[in-house]
Amino acid sequence: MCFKNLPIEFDAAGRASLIGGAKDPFAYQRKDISRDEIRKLMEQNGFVRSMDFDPVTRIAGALAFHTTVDLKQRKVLEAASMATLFRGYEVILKGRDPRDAIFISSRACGVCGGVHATCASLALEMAFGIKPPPLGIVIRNLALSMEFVWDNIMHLFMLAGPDYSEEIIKRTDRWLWDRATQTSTKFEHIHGYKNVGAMLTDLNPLSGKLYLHGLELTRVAREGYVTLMSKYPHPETIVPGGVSHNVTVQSFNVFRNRLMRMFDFAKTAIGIWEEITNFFYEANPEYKKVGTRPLNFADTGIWDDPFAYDGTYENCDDWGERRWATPGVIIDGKQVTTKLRQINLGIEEFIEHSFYEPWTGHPHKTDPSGSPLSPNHPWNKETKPKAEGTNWREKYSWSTAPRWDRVAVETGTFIRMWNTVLAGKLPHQRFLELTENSMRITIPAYEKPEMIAEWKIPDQWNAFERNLSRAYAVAYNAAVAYDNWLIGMDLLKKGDSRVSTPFEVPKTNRLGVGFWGAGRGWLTHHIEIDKGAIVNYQIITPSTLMASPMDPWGSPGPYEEAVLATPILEQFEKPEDFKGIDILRTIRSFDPCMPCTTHIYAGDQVVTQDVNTCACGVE
Amino acid sequence: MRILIAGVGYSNLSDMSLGPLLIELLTQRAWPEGVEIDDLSYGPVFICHSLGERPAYDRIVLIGAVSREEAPGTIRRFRWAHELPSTDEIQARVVEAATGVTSLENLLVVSTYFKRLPADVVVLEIEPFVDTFGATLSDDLNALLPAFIEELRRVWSSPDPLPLLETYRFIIANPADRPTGWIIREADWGASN
Repeated sequence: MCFKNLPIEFDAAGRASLIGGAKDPFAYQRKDISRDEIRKLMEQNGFVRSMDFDPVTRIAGALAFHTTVDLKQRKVLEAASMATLFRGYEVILKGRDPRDAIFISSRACGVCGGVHATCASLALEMAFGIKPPPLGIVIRNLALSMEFVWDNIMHLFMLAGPDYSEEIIKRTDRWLWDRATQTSTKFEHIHGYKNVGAMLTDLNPLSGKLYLHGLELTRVAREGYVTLMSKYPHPETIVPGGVSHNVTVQSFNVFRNRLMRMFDFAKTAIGIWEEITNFFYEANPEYKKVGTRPLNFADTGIWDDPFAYDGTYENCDDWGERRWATPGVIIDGKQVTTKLRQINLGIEEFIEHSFYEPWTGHPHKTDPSGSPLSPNHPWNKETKPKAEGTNWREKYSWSTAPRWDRVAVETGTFIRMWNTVLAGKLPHQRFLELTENSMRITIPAYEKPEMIAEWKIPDQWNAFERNLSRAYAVAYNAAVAYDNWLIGMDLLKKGDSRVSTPFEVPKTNRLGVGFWGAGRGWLTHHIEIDKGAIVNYQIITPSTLMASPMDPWGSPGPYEEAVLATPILEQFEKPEDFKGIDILRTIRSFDPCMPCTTHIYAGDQVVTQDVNTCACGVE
Repeated sequence: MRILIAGVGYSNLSDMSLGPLLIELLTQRAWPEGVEIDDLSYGPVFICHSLGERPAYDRIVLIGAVSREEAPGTIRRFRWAHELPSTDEIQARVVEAATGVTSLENLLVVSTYFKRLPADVVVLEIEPFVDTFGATLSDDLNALLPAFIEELRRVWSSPDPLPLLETYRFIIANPADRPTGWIIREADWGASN
C-alpha cells in the first residue's frame, strides 16, 4: 500500500479504488497558523530577529526567504519560502494548438532549456497515441543527459561553489579559513590539490580556476547539445514522436568528443566535493545538520529505454521501470512505489498559502485506467491567480504547494540515483552497477584514467550531501549519455536512422502526461485536449515542489523544512554581523530555479508581464 | 573594419522584442563586407563563449528595447563606458546570465569582465510603447522603425566612434507628428547608471 493519507487502496492485482464510506473522500480541514508566539518572543528577546533574504542571490529567478532566528539559541524559529515571480504558461497554452505546448512551455525556464519541450512532447505522445522510433528516443536521452551535465557543473562551481570558497568563508567563518590553510587534502590523487585552502581559493567566484574551468565546460556541454538539437535553450527540433532533424555518424562523433571531456571533469568534481564535505564535517560535526530534512523524496524518472517506451498511460508502469533513472517515491527513507501510475495518483496541488483562488470543478474523477483522482490533481486543477492576504500566516508565495500523498517531498538529480539504487531494477548496466545501497559508476578514461566512482546512499541528508551527490550525478548523467551514444551508433550502423513518427492532432477528448525530469528532478506536464485544442495544461516543476509554501495542514515545504532544521553555526560577535551563511547554504543546496516555479497569469486572456512581489513589508 | 550589429531581447513581448525582430529584418538586407548581423538574445555567459571564438570586432552595436520610464518611442544612443561594478555584483550578473536571463546590461557587464568587447561599443535602444505578450511590434514602434534604422546606419557606418557626450533631444510634441518626432538622447552609460 503506497498511500497512508490519500483515500485510495489497491487490490491484489494492483487496481486502485476509493476506500469506501467517506462522503467526500478527498476533503480536508485547513489548519490556521498562529504567529503569536513568535511575535511575543521578538518583543521580549533582542536575540530573536526577523531575517529576510530578498532576493536570495545566485539562483535562477526570484526567490525571497523569510526567517525568524534566535541568535542566542542559534536556531531558526520560522521559515517561509516565497516565490516572488509571477508568469503565465498554463493560461497562455489554454485554447492553443497542442503542438504549441512544446515551444511555449520550453520558455518556462532558460536554464532547463530542453526539458520542458521534451516533457511536453511526451505528454502529447500519450494524448496522440504515438511513440518515437528508437533513435528519436536515443537523441532525446543524449541531449537531456548532456543538459544535466552542464546544469550540475554550473551549480557546483558557479552557484553553490562560491559559498564554500575562500572569499565567502573568510567573510563568515575566519577560523574555518585558517583551518583550511593548514589542512592537507585526502583526495589529491583525484583533483590534484595538496592543501584545502588552495582548493577553496580556486572556488572563488570570477577568478578561481575551478570556477573558470566550470564556466568553460558549460560551453562544451552546450556544444554537445546543439550538435544534436541545433539550438539551446529552447530547441526547435523536438516534436511529438521524436525529433525533426536527422543525425549522422559525424554528428554523433562531435557529441562524443564533448562528452569525453565531461568524464574528466566529473572525476575532478567528485574529488573536490568529497574534500569539501569531509573538511566541514571534521571541522565541526554540527555541519551535518545544515539543511537536513526528513527522507521524503519523489522523482518521475527519466531517460527512456528506446526499445520499451510506447508513450501510453496503460503501460507507463512498465516503460517507467525500464528507464536509466527509475521513477519512485521514498517516504521516511523507504521506497513506497516505483510505478508511474501510482506516482501520478499521489500528486496534488494546494493553494491555501499561495496567491491563487480555489477551483471547484472535479472533471476527472478517475485517470484513464479508472483509478480515483483527487480534485486537487493536475488533470483537475484550474489556475486562478489572485494576489491577496499577503502575510506569513495566509498567502505568501506564487508557488503552489504540491504534495505526494499529502507529504512534502524533495526531488533532485541525486534522488534519481537514490530511487534507482533502492529499486534495484536498472536494466542498463554497461556503466552503472547497483549494490544494496550504492551505485557504482564506471567513468571512462580520457586524459585521466578510468575511475569507478561509488555513490552511497548517505547516512545523513543535508546541504553538503546534496552538493556532493550532485557531483556524482555529473558522472551518472555522462555515463547514461555514453550508454545511449553506443546504442545510437549501433542503430545507425544497422541503418535504422528514423528519428520521428508521423502523426495527426486528434479531434477527440484526450488526456496525456509527460513524466520526465529537469536538472533539479521531478517534472510533469499534464494536458487535456479536445477538438484539436488544449483544454487544460498544468506543469509541476522540481522547484514548485521544493520552494512550496506551507500546505493546508500547516506543514512546511522542503526548503522551509530544511531551513528550520539548520543550526546557526556562523561566527559573529554582534547580531548585526550575522550574514546567514548556513541558511543560504541550505537554500542553495537545493539548486533553486525559480523561473519555472510560477507560471500563471492572464488578465482577460492576455498575459500582461512578469510581476515581482517583494517580500519586504510582509508581516 | 569588423562590425557586429546584434539584437538583444526576449521573443514574443511586443515592442520589448525589438532586438530579435529587427535582426530578422536586417539579415534580409545586403551588408558590406565586414559587417555581421547576429541575434544575441540568449544568456551572456554563452555569448561570451561565442564572441571568444570569433576574430575581434572593431565595433559592436547592440540594439534592443528597454523600459526606462521615458516617453514611448524615445530612442537612446549610448556608448558603453566599460566601467564594472563590484565583484559581488558582477558575480550576480554572471549567475543571472548563466541561468538564462537575457538583458543588455548583463551582456555588457559580463562580456566586459571576460574581455570580449572592443573599445567601441554602442547601444541603440528604444522606449517601448507596448510591453505585453505579442509576436509583433506595435504600430507606433513600427512607424518609428525607419528612423531607428537610419540612426543605426549612422552609428555603424561612422568612420570614427561617435563623440561620447554628443546629445540629441527631439521631444514629441504631438503623437500625430510621428514618425518624424522621435527623441534621440546620447549619454555616457557607465555601470553606475
